[in-house]
Amino acid sequence: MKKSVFIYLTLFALCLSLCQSCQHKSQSDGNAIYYWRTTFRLDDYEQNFLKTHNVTKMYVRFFDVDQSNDYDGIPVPTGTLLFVDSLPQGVEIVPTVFITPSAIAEYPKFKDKLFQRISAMAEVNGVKFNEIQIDCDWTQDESDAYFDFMTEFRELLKEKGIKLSTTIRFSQLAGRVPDADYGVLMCYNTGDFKDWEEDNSILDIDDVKPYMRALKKFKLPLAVAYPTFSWNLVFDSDEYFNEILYNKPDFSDKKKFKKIDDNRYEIVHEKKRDYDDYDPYYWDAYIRHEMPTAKEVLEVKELVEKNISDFNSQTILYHLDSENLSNYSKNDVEKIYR
Amino acid sequence: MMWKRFIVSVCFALAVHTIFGCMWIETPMDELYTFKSYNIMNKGDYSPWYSWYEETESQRADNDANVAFWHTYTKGQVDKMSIFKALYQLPHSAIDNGNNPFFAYLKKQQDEGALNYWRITKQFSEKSSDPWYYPTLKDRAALLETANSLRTASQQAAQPELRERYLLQLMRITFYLKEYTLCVQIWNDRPKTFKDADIQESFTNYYAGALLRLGEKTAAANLYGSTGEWKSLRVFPDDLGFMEELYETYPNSRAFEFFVQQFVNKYQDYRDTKQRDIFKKLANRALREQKTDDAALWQSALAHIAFLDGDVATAVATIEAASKMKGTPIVMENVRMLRLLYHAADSKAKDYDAKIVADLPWLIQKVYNLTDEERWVNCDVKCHYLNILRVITLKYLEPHYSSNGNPNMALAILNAYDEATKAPCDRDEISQNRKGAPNTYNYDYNTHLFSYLDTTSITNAQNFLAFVKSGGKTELEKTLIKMGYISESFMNELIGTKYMRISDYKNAIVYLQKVRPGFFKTQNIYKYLARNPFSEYWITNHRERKQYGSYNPAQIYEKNPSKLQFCQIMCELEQKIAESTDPEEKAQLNYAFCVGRIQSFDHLAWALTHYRQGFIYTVFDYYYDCDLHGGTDPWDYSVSLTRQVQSTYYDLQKAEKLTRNPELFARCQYLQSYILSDVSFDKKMHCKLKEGFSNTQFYRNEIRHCDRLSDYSHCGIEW
Repeated sequence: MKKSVFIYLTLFALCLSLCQSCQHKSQSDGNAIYYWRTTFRLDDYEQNFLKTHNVTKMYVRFFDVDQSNDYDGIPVPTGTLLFVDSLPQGVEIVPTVFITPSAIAEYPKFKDKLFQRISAMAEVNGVKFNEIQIDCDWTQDESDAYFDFMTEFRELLKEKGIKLSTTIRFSQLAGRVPDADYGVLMCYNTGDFKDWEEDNSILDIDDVKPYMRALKKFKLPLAVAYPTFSWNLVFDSDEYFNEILYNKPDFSDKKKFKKIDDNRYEIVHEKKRDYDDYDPYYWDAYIRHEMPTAKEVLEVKELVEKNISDFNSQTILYHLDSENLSNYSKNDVEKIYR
Repeated sequence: MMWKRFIVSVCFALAVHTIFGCMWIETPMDELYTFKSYNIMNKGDYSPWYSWYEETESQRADNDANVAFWHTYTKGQVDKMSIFKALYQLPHSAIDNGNNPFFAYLKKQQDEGALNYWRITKQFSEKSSDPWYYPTLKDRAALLETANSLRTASQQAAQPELRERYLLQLMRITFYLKEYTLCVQIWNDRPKTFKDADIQESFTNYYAGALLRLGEKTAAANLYGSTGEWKSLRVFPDDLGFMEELYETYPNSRAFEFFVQQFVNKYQDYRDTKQRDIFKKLANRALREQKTDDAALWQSALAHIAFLDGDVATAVATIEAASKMKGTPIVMENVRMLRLLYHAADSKAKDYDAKIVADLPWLIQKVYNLTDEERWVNCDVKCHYLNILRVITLKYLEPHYSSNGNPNMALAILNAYDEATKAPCDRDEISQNRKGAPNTYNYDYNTHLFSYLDTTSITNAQNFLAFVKSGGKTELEKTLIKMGYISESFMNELIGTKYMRISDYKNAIVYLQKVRPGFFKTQNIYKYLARNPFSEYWITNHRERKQYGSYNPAQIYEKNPSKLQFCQIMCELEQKIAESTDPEEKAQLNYAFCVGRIQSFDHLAWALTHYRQGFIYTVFDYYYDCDLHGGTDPWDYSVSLTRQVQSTYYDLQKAEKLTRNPELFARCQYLQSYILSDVSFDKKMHCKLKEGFSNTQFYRNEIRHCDRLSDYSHCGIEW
């Protein structure tokens, strides 16, 4: 008798564990990706990408909320997405809104408007949604406002049967857990892009490692977003950061660029300019090209997923952009999604 | 203008009057944009010296074209301010509450057409101005219904101006709803001509916006070019491919004024020679095909590219050709400015003066005539004239004449430039200052002319005064002298001061005596002249100060503190030193002479040989601190302080040799250590003072009060 009870209990535990993994599996039936541009227009590559990689969920940035000088510093929507192409069939759209830290503190002024605007945009553009995602790079100073906002906004959404998710940056893991159905751990922008000494500020496993203890303790179901983008950071002759170039310059042009190490280039000025005498330190002098390789992403993926206490099995790529995604092979993308 | 911004920008005065103490001329980035001459919205981030002001409401009401229309509409029966408030400040609810005279007038007239127009306009504005508003499907349906009613109203309105306004609102709402195809339809149904040009311009811009969103980029750019909506042209691709595409369809587009300029300015920044060659092909094609009414634009762009490439001769030849071509007024004006620029840069040209005289007075006069708004409106529009004049004057003309041994011309150009760049709003104050009113800003000492004069030789300054008095010989000289401002007192005072700087007090007196009474009061250094150069302020114990003998220069100076008085005292001291046979008296007089001379240079009475820049003095603490600590004024680079210190040092040694009075000897030692400002020497001197003169009254009194002396009182201990 005792033996059979033990066998039943073992079988029950096994079933329970299987069910749990089934639950995870069900969420990862399709893949997910961010759409982070101001015009919704998909080129052929991007449309094919969605089909080839079975993307069934797209987190689409609807607009940002930022304080505006034009409106006496009150938080207002900016960079509203313009829908040019129709939305792809069979892909769940999650309206996503980026809120700046300075704006989040003013949330009581826009919490309801935020929902109304998302709803109006969704209605007009034929988006049916049952989830909203909030992206906010809050720091300690805004943490109270952010957590209060999440609690109140989730309550508002609950009444309407809508889920709320939020992005989580590594630096935000140490604090409280926001009121959300789940979080998306952003595995990118791990370093300080303004620092010339950084090799890859988009993703560096050494920057990720220190957060693993906090990640283990973080009590919120987490999906994970990995970077598939690149950028070019321009520095002046004093190695101070000047600007980001999203389009990759033609580094093979030796008249313009001199390679100084793996991903760093010196800008060769064709001719000494008149104004070099005046402010030589402010002119662009160096560029660091950053693009995490698939290998680097996979290393981080292994590390991170091993340490998440409550992983919801959703892998998201940042972001849908043919120019960047074409730097990764189909196989690489599949491995990241796997 | 109704649809345009109310807010205008004002460059802070310093942006216009960039003043530098010496002849080192900084040329800020924006001033290098020699091709930038059109109505382009400046980025506004070139310089931090921008501030903004808003016109007063009554100014806005007076200047607004839309207010003017409705004022006429009411047959002048409603005042402009009430209309202004109705149009721009009152909410939709004010239309029917009867409080505003304008809306009340429309009601009294039972002008349902106009009232309906305002109801729709206000309601829509109120909604669309809420940044959070995103029309739902229901809202959109309602707005489309409104649009339909506007269409009907525009057809039924009796007055063409009202019809146009209905149409504009219809276009506005349709555009807002992103119904761009409908916008095209509205455009197609428009009247051939609009009565109100501003309405037509706005209407066209909405249509251009719709075309842009429908993907018809070249057509949109062409329309934006036609209305001068350059801000919108910024959204177009910044590449030559697009320019070529635009040229294919619209070779005569006004948008090229923007794109050509944008390209040339970009070339100036990046010197992309591949792109340059492609552009040159396009420009030559435009010139060859003659499909443009603005050939001078393309030609001047080629000229400027040659100039940027350092080929001044080609630039000159090309711009001369451009000046004979067809072009819009603003392009032709730019051609003239560029021609002047290239001629100014062509320093080897034989007929340099003749080429300059053709355009320089024109440009100076143009800058002089700029209103405050024109020169400060966010460095937009005509501020360019000022910038280009600055480049031409400071980068080319002044250095050209200076290096070719003609400082008179260099100074005359700077003088005319300074006068032209003075803001109209300051001119009254400057005039008062020149007539005798004190002024802390010290306008005539914040100029390029002054900076040059302050640092040039006495002979150059004297020659310039004679040159100005002669009225000049050549046409250019005559014109420039007339355009400048020179006061004889200003020059005489300056030359006199220059003599003081080389301790030639006799000659200084000759010039200072010619300065008209009251002139010194106009200078902002006037109050500092009260500081007595013969007071020994470095001596802490007051009882030990002013211990002169029978001849007390400090007392004499106090009676009439001025440069002239100082020079007269110094001359008298020189004479007495020469005449005195008593070594003790001679030593005493030598000491007094040394005190006066060193103080007039580097210490308390610096104002005797230095000038003070008004603005910097009041703003920057650093300069203020220099004053407090009796330091040198960093603005003045001409004073050979080292030489004066050395002469004083040797004169003090002379006094030491002559005197047997240990009190005076101690003073001489103390002053030497004070003026040399050399730590090792300082220590040596003070130790010597302690060892040799500790019994003097001076030492005993002073050491009790002076911390500095106490520091050295333990000789042998490392300090």
